[in-house]
Amino acid sequence: MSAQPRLEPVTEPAVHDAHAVPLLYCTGWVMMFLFGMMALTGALLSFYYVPSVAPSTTLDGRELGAAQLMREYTWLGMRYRAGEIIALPLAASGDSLDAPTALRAFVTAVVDTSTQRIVRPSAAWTSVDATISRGAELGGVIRSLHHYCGSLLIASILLFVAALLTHLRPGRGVDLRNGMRTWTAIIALLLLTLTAAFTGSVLPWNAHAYAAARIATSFVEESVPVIGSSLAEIVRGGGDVAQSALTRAHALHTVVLPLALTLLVCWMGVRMRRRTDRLYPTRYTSERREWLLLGGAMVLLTIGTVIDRAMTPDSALVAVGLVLFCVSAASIATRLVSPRDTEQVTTEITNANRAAPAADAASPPDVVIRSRTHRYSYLLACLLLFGIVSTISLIAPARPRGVDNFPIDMLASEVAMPDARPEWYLMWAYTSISTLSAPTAFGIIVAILIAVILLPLTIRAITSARSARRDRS
Amino acid sequence: MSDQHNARRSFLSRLLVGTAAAVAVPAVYAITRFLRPPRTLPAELRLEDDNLPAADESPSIVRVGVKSAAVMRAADGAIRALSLTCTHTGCSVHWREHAQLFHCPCHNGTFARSGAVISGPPRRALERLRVVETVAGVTIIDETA
Repeated sequence: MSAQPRLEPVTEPAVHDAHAVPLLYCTGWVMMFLFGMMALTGALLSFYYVPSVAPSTTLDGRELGAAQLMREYTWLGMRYRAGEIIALPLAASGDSLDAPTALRAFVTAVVDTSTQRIVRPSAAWTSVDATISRGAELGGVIRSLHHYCGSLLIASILLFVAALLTHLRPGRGVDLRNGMRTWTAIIALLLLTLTAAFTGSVLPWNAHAYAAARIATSFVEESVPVIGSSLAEIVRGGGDVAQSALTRAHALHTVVLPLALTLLVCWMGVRMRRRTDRLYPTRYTSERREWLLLGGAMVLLTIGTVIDRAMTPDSALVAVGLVLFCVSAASIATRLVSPRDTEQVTTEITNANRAAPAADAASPPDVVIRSRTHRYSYLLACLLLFGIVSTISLIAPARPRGVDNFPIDMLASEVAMPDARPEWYLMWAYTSISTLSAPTAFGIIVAILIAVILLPLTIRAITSARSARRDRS
Repeated sequence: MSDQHNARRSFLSRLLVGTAAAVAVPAVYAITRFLRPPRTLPAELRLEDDNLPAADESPSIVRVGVKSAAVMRAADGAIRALSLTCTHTGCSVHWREHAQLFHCPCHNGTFARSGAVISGPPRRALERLRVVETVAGVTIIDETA
């Protein structure tokens, strides 16, 4: 009997189901998978992307000008809708389009109203809009995958944070010293990912990107006390949002942030294997809860589809719903086909073999169960998500349209500044910037950040106070 | 019961790993398709009649997009444009006035004024660019750009 490991900390004699899949781990694997998808699609996009605000030219050096199509048209194998902007060669004088004869009747030059000059789309805009989205085969799909997976990645990080929170309660063997480190790491991961998402949204160098870059950097300038203006200058690489701002956004998005995120994810992965076993011991979800989560995912997907009128991860509810759906469906599927797992590896972790002894010496040993079945469920969840997100990308590719996708010409005097509504995961920043004064918004953002980082301590304080009160009475 | 279960489980695990592999194969195919460069506008060069060489004149060297080309007038009076990229290993060939031929300094290949191989390792004649006659002159088009 003594060889029998204790499967649950004595303080929580909850139903223990050794064959269930730890949802926290499954969400973690989905998160890693989405990071991988971002790296892969990002690498593919970088084969075509040109980080330059200079006017794009043809191979023989002719400048391109922006023209609006009057009707649907296919040119150079690319399909354009009526009203869309297309880059056509300019005549040597630069003040008229030199459109191919077949196109001449259907295009009008886009002219900057005050200088009467034809708008020159930047090389960055042309590389994203023409080369990637329309020229390269499946380019639109790859761009969409990068876009949608980004949204799903942030949804999965949020779900992971939520799953962590359910573990951060006393009586579940949580070591707060290590727990805080994991918590801070995951919050850093979330913030870095949000920064990556923002810098990535600048790269297409369309009106939306340009407006977002101007609003964000001037917010930094206005709101951060003392160092605000020098910080904004460092971010922009100068006083204005111009070439250096795009270069820096590109460096951050393709080199600095991916590198930082990779290091952080690796470090967290190593910790998860070594220590999280101690932090989040054998917290398996019951079958009933898995079905509840699946039901919750379906509800989120339905509401999201109805409210946002699109079944794409552009909607917060759909993004969270999709990740939750894949994780819970994979767990249920694994449970259904494999109700008994004969190959589980059980390790007991006590203070004796723990890397860092638990703060509470009397805390019961933790049990780590890893099994092949779990790994299959992680793989199944990732495969499910891949299938869903690629289907969505094929059916409804994400592509900015209308005034948001207007090319930016740095020499045009009037630059269209659309209402740069960001993706759902940056709406909190957008709303606070557009409704509050800059210093107030900054104060609130800092306060929220501190509150979030200290959240585990707060939860622990509240629950231990409650249990102390219970003990007294 | 246990054997039966293990057999079923190993079948399912193979199915799952197989599905992952089956997803990877078309993904690799799609990626290769994506990386094939899309069509772009062909590079063009417009030349006025005044700038075109006469029948007995040596070829004039021009730039069509990122390619160097020799423009000359053939015996029949038509304008001809040859790419100056050697068909052997892609070096640039030079017009040798005294010998009246194109010479490649890399491996001593030589081409006639028409572009045909005279001697050396090259096997194919110099590539001809498309020449379109216009009202005021010609347009040389590099369609491979």
